[in-house]
Amino acid sequence: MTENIKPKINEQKIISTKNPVFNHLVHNQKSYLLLLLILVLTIPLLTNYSVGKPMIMGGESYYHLSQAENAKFAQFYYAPLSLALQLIPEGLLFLIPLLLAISSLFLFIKIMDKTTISNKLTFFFLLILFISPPFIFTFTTISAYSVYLFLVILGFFLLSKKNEQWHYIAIIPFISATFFDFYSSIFLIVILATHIHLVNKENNLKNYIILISTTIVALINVLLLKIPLVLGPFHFEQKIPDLISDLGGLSGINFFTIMLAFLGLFITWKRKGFYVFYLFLPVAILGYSYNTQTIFHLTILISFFAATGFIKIFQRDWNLVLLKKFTFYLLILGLLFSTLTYFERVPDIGPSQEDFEVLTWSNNNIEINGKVLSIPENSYFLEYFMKQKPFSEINVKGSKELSQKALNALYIDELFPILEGNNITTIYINQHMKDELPNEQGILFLLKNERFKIVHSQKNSEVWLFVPEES
Amino acid sequence: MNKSPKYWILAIFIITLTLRLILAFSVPNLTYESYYHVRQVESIKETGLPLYQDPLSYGGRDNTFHPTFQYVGAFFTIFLPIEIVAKLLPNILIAFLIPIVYLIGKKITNNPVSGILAGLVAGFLPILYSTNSFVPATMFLPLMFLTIYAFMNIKNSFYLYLYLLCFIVLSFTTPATALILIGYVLYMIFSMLEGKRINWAELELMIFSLFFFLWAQFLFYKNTLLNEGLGFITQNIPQQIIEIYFPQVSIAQSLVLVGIIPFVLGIFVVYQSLFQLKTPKSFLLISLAISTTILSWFKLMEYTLALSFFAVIISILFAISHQEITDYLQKTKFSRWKNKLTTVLIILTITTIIFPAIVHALNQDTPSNEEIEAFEWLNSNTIEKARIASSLKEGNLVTYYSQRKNIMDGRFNLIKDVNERFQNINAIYTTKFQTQALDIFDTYGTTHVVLTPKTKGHYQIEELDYVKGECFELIYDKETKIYKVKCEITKTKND
Repeated sequence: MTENIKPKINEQKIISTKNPVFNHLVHNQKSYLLLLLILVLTIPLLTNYSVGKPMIMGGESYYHLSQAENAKFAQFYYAPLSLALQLIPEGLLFLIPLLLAISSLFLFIKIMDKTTISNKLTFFFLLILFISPPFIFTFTTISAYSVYLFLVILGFFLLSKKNEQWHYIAIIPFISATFFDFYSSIFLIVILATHIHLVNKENNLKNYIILISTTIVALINVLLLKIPLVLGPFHFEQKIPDLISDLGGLSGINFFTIMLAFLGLFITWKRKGFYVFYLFLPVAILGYSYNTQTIFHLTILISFFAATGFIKIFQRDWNLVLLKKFTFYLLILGLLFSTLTYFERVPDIGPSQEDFEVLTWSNNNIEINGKVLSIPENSYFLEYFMKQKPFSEINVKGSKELSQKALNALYIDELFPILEGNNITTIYINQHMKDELPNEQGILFLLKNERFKIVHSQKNSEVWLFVPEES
Repeated sequence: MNKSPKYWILAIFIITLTLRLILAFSVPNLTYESYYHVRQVESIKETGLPLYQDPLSYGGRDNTFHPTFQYVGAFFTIFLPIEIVAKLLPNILIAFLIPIVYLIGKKITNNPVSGILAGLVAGFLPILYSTNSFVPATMFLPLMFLTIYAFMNIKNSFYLYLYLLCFIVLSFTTPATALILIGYVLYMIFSMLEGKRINWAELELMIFSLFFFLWAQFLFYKNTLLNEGLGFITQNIPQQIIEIYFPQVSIAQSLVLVGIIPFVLGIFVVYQSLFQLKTPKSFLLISLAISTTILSWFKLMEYTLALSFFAVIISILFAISHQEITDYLQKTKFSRWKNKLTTVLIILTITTIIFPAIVHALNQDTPSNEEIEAFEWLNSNTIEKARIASSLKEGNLVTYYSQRKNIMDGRFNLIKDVNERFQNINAIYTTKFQTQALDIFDTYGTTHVVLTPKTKGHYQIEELDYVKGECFELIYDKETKIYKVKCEITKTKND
């Protein structure tokens, strides 16, 4: 009888330390999480490489690269990236976010070792975070938030050191983290305030100094350096798809993760010691509703609650062990499913191989004296590869309508005044535009006019010149 | 009634099924949507697979759906011809609601008589008398209520496994299964508000159900979700016809379709359960009724399906109201009238729902034999590459009977230019200009146009205005007319 019951008890312990496999995973989490991290971050890079695309993708990457190339004195915070651009060949730039991710992982685990947060929670939190599309996207692109996260973790790592001198040095990464956008600074200030609330209150002066100096610098950055509230946008916002990757957004959260987070919130509601984490929710939700670019902050929080929910659900004994196991594997499959779906879409994220080839060729071979007409989504690629000013920029209000007016013009009488009035001398058409714009009308049809000359093309990417009337 | 509830239920089952089958076989043909599913069943029978790459619908398209109902239909075609299966299977499935509703009613009230009454009402609900509909909803409804019954009995391991089986089948039958999940959320909220401790065993099943359902939908609808985003929920239905799928609720009509007496008593129970007695036993059903209303209100669920589901819940709540009324009478000096009241209730209920049920069945929207003949004629008198223009709802007749490509039918998912197609279909039947019509025919490579009496009625036309002249040849001239398109907008066709 006892022999019959024993295996049942063990079968309940899917995520218990009594489960040898899980125990091994948690005890060696640093190695396994590192492996997972490298795997999830190299898959998009290798996918890009295999289809001939530049390994670094996304508009944000090329925005920062352009800024770093042309940084003025007031943009001194781009100095590290400018330096990196000079030291690292362009083909190896992908190493920057990869190294930031690995460093952040090691520092984070070191910090967690010194807290009362269980290894199990750390393991699942990082597991869920690493396979989330916003995390993967952030750390496979040159993004502000990858550096921001690294700096915040570095700051807390220094704060967690026993030697108090390190604590004051922590001010440097914290202050540096305020140079990206004001929203991230607010998030950091809330984290620092929470930290003060949680740590030993007798020894809090230095923490107050850190908090106050970070707040002051953040305010200076906003008021004097005109740091934006939220960096970007780098794509056109869609509130729901940008939140849920399974609905086709650029890099939303897995739907399974969101559901797990809801369960986590529901199950741990009013749990002692957890209420502090709920404070971050309104900040993250408000940030997201203002600008979907802040999905990264929300992802971190959602992943935390999802991990809490996951542990809470599977830590306790279920009435039906089979159902527990089935649900467990179902969840793991569901989480992976969304991530794999995201990987499938990586080749669709610009710039494409043709974008790169045609724009670089144009930069090297033709002299352009005017603006370039294309869709706003291409604006950062035009600036970086072609070194030209785009007619419509994604981060300029009304830009979409302006470019649509030109791209959807039905007659040359409509189009030519727009081109001439805005000093547009070049038109860049790519595959995405050919898929979306009608062939029989609009710009694709009007390009047949003799005043347009094609100067270079590869597959469906083309550069056209708009010839002035006098010539 | 108390002594032999099983026989009563069996009798109601047989009477209902007989009535349904009489009506099904006396109304000619199937509803328009049914032909889509019949075609899928035939494909499964021939190839073992549904038509996920449909060469005829929209001139050729990818199409994703849960195939369980079609596989069940295909299984029965091993023994019977599809024409019989298409009329027999849905009616048998719907008739199974009677014993299921009886079991739920009895479980909640502990009174077999109330359970029998609920079964009786469920058997004659007018909204369920679409006897010629061969659609997944006919499998969804009984399966859903069996799932609910199993959920109510999960302490018994048999029902636990029954729940799992039913829910897995449901998840692969229709995305409308989301209804039960939303119901669970409301059930938890109500339970928490009323201070009822949520049973962990119930929570386990809810968690499993949530994730299994999500996984099943992602498995089938991955591309649809990625391409259409939230549009997946509204099935990419063209804006112009969204009102047909989600019409403005006519309370009077809804009352008739649900049954006036069950509706009034059902609402009385909801009021009592939520605000006066606060009895948790009906929370789950009320939660499901509210989730149906919410989904229907926000136009996230087809109106007929929502109303059908709501009507069945009302029939169960009717059992509770009967129980409460008889309990109340028991406490008064009218207790000896208890049985008489039951009899009066039965007579009143049946008389108010059976007539609308029969009328509803007789007024089903099905194609006439003459119309079907015309579509069959197209199959034997046109080349295989022919593309046929028909009204939207006749699109399935083109693919099923004519076995030719259509311009459009009622499956809108993954179709990019769905609004444009719908406008063009309307223009084909309403334009006065030949050039506009020819331009549309050129766009889709249309070779023939069908004008049925139903289409004439729908568009309120007697004839197509532009068919005079050399560009159109009347090749089938009965009540239904078929024209061959002989011109293109740029050059004259030589054939």
